[in-house]
Amino acid sequence: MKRYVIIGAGNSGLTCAKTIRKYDKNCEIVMISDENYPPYCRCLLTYYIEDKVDEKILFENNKKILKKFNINFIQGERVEYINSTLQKVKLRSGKEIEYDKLFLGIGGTPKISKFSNDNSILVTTLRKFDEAKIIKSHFKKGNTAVLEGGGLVSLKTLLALYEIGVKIYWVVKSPYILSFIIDRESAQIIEDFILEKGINLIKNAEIIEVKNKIVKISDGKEIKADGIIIGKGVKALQIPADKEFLFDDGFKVNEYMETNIENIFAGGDCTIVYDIPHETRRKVALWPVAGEHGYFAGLNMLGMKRKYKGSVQVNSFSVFANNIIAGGKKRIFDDEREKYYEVSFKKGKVFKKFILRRTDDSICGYVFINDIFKSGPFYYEIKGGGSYERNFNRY
Amino acid sequence: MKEILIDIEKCMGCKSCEIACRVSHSQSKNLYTAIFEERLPQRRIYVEKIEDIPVPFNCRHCEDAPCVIACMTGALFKTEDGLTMYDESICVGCFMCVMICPFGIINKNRYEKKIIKCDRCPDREIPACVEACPTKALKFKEVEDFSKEKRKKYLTEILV
Repeated sequence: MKRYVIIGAGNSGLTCAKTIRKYDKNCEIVMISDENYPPYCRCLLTYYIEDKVDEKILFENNKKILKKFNINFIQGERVEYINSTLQKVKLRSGKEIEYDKLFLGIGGTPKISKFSNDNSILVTTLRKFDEAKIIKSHFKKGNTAVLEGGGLVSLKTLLALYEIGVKIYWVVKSPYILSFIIDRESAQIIEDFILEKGINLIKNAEIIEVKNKIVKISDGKEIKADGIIIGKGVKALQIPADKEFLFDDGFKVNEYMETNIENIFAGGDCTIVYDIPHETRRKVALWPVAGEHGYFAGLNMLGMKRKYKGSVQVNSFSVFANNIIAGGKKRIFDDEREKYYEVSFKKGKVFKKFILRRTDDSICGYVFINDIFKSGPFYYEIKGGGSYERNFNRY
Repeated sequence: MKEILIDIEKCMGCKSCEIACRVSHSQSKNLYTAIFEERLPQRRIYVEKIEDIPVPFNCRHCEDAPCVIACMTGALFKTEDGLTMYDESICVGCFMCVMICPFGIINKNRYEKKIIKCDRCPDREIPACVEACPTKALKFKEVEDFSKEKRKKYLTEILV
């Protein structure tokens, strides 16, 4: 009987396990997580903070999946060492588990900004359930929170805290918010949604000091706050092994999601994959993309040899009553003007934008604001290099 | 396991399926009263024109459904019969499924932060869209039977 060992209980690990079980009913699947909880979705943590989701929704469904797919789940255990020659992993408790195929879905750890801190207020990141619990119990109506980092985690935390009635200052280093996700024009529209609600947005700035509950910002502002939440992206985690992994802010995997070490596969936030629209290898750390990685890794661990073409960065989020879906390449830099062009239209609250290649008018990026219906096919158009013309009549 | 299958050659683009779908998902299940309901019913099937040919788009209940992989709460799930079903009570309205559906048929609920998708009309024997199709472009059949019919038609065309 084959034994598949999966490290990490995120979307990549869970989808990988489900895929393996679908095609191999008799194998043994072992999943190891370093958290003391059943698998859960990290994207739901902000919903948990604002009480939209309870612990039951967070865990119950995945508990059922573990049972239904007959996954042997080990929680609260960290894998300390991989012995790829003997095909064994060593846990912190000293226990050793042999594997036939190993999947690394270990994710990442939040990057922390460095500022002088006298620990007079709460300073935390938001990645794990324990952190969400701390944030939820710490912030009450009328409190003040400072959020640092212009990414989606900060935006979603902001929206959750706003619902609770917390006063918010959002400190962003770049000249506009969500600079990793969308372009300046779309960001401007979203900034307006936020400013309308009386949220203080401080751009081109960062936190420099926390002293006696006063947060000092680089533009000279001083804010009396009850806590700071940092959302500056994630750094991929690594596990020591007897052979050296090809690792550069993520495990380098081939098109079969296999690392340079035989029988070890990887996926999710801890991997470097080919980014199709950006035509480069990089980390695409997103929930649905992690699922895709897990799916393809699962098939290849079963020996099916399915090629994974690459990932496309794609995000869906809501800002108050406005829904936004953005995918692929959204920014054209000045030196790329000869290669790409953009088409956009705005009508009332609806904004749509497409980035196209000059050579064949094929689509490589899109932003939909407030009319998100039928955005799905564009994701696959980018993946398959399809044309804008062919789908245009539908939109 | 029966599936909703489409014979594209027969579709005229009359949109009877769209109306039938709306009515079947209304409170009153009647066209004349449905249009006066407080919450207007939304359709789950969309007749689109692809290069001037009308094609009905509905949920294909994909085998390894991307929407199920992307769903954060498990509100979208596969049943034992292979259907992709939706549990509205645990949906948080993140619209990841809208973002990832290859056919673009998952729509936003007009009245709340939820989605609308084909549920294969659980309280009917034959889905409303299939029943309403005047040219029988939409069929509710076993995949095997459907392809057998197609093969037969093809052979008759070349032999006769």
